[in-house]
Amino acid sequence: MDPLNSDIQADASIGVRFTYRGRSWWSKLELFLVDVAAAAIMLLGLYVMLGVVTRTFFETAIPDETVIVAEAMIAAVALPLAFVAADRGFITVDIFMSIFAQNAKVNAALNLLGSIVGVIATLLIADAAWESLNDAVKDGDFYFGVLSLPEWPGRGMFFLGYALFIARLLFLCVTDARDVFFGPADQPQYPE
Amino acid sequence: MDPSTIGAVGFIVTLGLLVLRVPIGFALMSVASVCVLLVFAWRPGSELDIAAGMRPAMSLIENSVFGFIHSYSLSMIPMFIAAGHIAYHARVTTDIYDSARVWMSKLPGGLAMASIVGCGGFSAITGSSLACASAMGRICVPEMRRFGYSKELATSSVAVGGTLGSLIPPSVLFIVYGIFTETSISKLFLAGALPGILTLLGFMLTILIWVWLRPEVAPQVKEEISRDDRIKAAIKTWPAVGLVIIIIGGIYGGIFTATEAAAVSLVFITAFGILSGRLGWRELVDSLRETAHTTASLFFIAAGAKIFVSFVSLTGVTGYVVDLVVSADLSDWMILLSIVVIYLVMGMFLDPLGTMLLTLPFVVPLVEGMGLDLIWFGVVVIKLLEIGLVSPPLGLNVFVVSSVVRQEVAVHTIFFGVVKFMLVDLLVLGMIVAFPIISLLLPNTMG
Repeated sequence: MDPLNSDIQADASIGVRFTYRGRSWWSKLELFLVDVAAAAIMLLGLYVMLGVVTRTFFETAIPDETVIVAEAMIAAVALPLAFVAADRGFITVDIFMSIFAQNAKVNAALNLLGSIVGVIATLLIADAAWESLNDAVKDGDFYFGVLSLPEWPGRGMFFLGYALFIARLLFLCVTDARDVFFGPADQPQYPE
Repeated sequence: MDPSTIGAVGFIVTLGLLVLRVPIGFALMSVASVCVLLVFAWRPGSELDIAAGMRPAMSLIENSVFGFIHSYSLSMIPMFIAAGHIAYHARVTTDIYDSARVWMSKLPGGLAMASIVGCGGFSAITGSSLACASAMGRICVPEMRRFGYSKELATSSVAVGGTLGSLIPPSVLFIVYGIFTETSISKLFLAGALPGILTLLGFMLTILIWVWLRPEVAPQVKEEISRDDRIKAAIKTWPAVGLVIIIIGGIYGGIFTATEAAAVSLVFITAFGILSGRLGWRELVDSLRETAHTTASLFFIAAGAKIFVSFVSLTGVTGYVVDLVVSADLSDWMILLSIVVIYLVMGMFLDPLGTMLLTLPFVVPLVEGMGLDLIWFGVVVIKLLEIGLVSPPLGLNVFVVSSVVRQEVAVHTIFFGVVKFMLVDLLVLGMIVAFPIISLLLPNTMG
């Protein structure tokens, strides 16, 4: 082994398949929103960095930095939710059920419970997000600042993220229920 | 219905859902949402009126979540995570191990020490103990076994090394703690640095003593490494050193805020990756997609916890717990000891973020009531969570290392090794608790 180079490449990737090929249009949309979120994260970094540069070298601030970064945060956080749900990528405490979950039906029942609780968790937020989006569009709300940026894009992304999230969770409820009552089937990985 | 009854039932249901493998974010958010609705709809002495409770409940929930995410300062989380993923794809993280290995291989137990340093650097940069255990386990364990290191030493050093990232900045746990306790994240980062280094040195000392007592666990490495190799290895770590200077130096010197340090780190490591040819378009896109995935998952739990905190304060359960503790007439040290025990026990079963978010609403008012410094307490909490990651019987890092080595090493063998390091962990914890200056020295002198 070369002492200066590990001959085994470390694998710390999160083990998720990020390819468009072989996905349904719905699943492609979810992945596309992950890409939008990824772009938003890079934008965050560049915009804050730009703020540091202009402050340090030109003693001036860039306009509405706080608002623009906060709006990009909505894209970064809310838009990938449906994809993460499809991937069952949310953190769970597996240890107590690990023995029982070896039974496929029990495993499916636990998945179903998780999906149902997920729908309950997000229903009120999605409803409230729709109301806020409506208000923001109707009243023409905007953020105070040099650019007077409108509120609706952030509200819209927030609603879109949660709406697709609920749709995905409902789909998971259906497939999980099918697995519980009819046994795990060769189900399509993504909804058609 | 009495709000504190709703609060108590809600807390029990949450724990039940967690046991039933419901994702932590779902459990926190669903219970908190339903209970907030009940608190507004079912006032004491009145009938249940869902329609009347709907509007205020929805307003509180939406404001909690949207207001929480719509944040400039929280943007440091995705930026630090992205910097970590990019550093990993650009092989900056493995360079730290390669360099430590070259410099330390001749020391007694040198490869294990190099693993500790490599894991510390890896987990600090990527912010993930589990990813570190998984990734470095594949590199370090076979390497140590190749040179005849015992299974116990080889696996346990990787398992404990991964926990170092919780204390060494930039730590996501510190950021989340800072947000929920409204304490300065910059100060928390600085507060964690010395205890992190102290733990690192303690782990290395453990290996030295272990190998001194039982030399057969780590035979001397017979490998020629020239001076040129050492110099080259040291030079290879410059991007990692650059990140440390940006984050610690920038914040300590008052040049950047923590959020700005995150942005500069992200741009710096991306520029290094591209200019060095180590980061292609594919790797960059994958890094950012992984960041988006991790960020969404993390924020969903944090948003759930945000509603949960609102629900807990609305029901007055916190006050009830505080009153209960006060009426027990315990000394401050007894209360602190109880908190330590609770965290150690919960850390054995729950993941660090979940443990922290479930407990902070109850623990922080107690600690504030005792007049203790929340920055110092943050370091104590993170140290406890770090210990929980490797505590028997369910330390997550141990199971990750076990799976990485394809169960060739029994879990209990790894735990036997880990226990030796845990003695140092507990000693460092005792020092942090007894001498708060260890944590507060840097934040108190920052520019």
